[in-house]
Amino acid sequence: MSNAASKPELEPAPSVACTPTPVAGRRASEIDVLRLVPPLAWLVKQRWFQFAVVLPNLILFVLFLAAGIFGTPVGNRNIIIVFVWILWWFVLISVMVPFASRLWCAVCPFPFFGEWIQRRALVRTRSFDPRTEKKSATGVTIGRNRYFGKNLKWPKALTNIWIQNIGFLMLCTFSALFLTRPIVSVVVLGSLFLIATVLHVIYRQRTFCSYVCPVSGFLSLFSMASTLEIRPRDTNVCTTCKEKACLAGSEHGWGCPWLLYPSKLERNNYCGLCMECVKTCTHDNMTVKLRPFCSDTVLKGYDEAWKAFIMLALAAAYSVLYQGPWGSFKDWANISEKLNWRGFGLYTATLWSASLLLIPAVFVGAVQAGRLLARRRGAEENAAAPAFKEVFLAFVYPLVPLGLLAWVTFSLPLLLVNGSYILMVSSDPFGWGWNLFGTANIPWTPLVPHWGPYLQVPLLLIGLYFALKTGKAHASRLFADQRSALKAFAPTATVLTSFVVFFLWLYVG
Amino acid sequence: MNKRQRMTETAAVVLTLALLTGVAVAVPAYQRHRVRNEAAGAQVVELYASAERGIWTEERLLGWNSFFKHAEKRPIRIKAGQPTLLRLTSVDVHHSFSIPELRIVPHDVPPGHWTEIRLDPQERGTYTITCYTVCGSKHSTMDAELQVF
Repeated sequence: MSNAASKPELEPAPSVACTPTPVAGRRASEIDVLRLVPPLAWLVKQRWFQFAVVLPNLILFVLFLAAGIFGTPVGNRNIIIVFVWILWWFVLISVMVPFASRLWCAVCPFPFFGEWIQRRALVRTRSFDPRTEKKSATGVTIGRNRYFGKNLKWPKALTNIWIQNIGFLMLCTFSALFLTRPIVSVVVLGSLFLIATVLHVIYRQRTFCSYVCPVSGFLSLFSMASTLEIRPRDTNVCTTCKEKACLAGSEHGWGCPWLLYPSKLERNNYCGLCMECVKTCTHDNMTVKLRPFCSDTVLKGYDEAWKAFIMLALAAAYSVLYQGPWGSFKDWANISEKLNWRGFGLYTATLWSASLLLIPAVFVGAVQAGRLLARRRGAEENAAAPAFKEVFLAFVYPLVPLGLLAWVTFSLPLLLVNGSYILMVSSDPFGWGWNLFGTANIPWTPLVPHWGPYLQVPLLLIGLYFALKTGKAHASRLFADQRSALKAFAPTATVLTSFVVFFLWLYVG
Repeated sequence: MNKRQRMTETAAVVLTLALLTGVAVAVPAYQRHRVRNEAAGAQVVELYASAERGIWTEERLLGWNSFFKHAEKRPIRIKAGQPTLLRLTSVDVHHSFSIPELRIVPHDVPPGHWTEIRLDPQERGTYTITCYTVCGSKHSTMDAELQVF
């Protein structure tokens, strides 16, 4: 192993490239949270901040793994199943992602040991490469941080989220297994933990999180809709800044572990909210901002578009499997108990082809039809038609708010119906007969399950509203006149509406 | 690195290791302490019911081994004249536990919960444990021998 000094990534990875957000008018409505709440600014600038938020999660994670291994095999009485797949999942998708972007990545325990090995430090920053060490104008020592391990660059061909797409789809194919069997959850989460640690030793900084972690994949997509971001206060300060401590690192913090160029952040996708840039910036120019929902509106590549298709297909598939009245579909997915390999094969083939082929094909058709409709009119006015890829990525973007709200809609009844298990396993996490808080033996009590549809319908309609709004904004940007824009977007809007009608039929039909 | 940074780093390392070790030590220790307290001097017998295998067994069926462990039907032995705490759990479906000859009426044994029954058999002999809930295709074999010696 070498004790190599890492080279800051001056040019962001392809899908992390930064271009101005096309849907204008967002800057005025942003709120600088760190200025608004100075104690929060003080807190996130402390070196121990991230350690303090990750450590409790790490301990819980270890406890969950122990419960999965040594606790009861009964899923709804084991904390790993109830806390991870019911509570954590709901909080993540319904609260953290919409309102706090990728805050989960800042507290995630997976990279704990990997990062510890890389940095050989839990809290402090380490010494710099002496060749790059210098003093800033404000007297802060700046330089490239030294990392332990191979520090290899991730292969360029893999600097996208395809591994995350396929990994997530693969995991979700076996969801019936790990949602019910504690030991399978242990294998899945434990493997991710090990892979994260190994990759941290081999590759640079948060390579695992950026390109491999299957959870990170959908967080990156849906965080675009989030109402929270880390951005520079004044981009002019960054333009004139010679030191770039946010990239290289300073005595106050590490260079961006996500290998981003924080001063040029335009999207949330690959920012893990670790707050290192807030600590390192010698001009106190990086901050946390509140912003309107769906402020990042640009998909950069087909990998991100396909992530949106996969998430929509999974939301639909899970709604059918876990909330629909069709027992035979459930049996097909539940391979471990039913051992119906033919049914499982059919379920897998349907899920994968819907995610990777069918839904994308529907969108390709809708986008092409829209371009054709717009071109007819555009030809009359000699307007140049935008390229297919540009229109396709723009019109797939509405699946971000729609997919996110579809997942919230799907997850909500899971919490309402299974919420009482949270109280049970809090008192008896291993299913060993404990009763720590006196709630171990409360009967299973669904919480207002009849409210489900009344909450689901508005959620889906909110998703559709944002989908149509952002889609129309993209259309207006891409096409010369308003009529062409509407014509171009009409087929996609119809498809989006059809998806919502399908979900409504599933939930209240 | 100044002294304060070094101390913070050391504290973080110590805290991490202490908490991880603490979990590993405290959890089984608490379980042992709790069962001992519950038993209050009685001998403790833990039985796992499995409908898939059609047995009551003393072999521990836990998260890691319940998938594949082949538990054999063996007599359950307790000492005569000594108070006994029977702790029963199911690893799959609802069962109900009964020893009619010892006047132990059917007790519900739901999956993942622990049902506790106290008994104090005075007479030596062999008694039959029976499941009174139709628990699956192997329900008819869902019995066991309780040997009081």
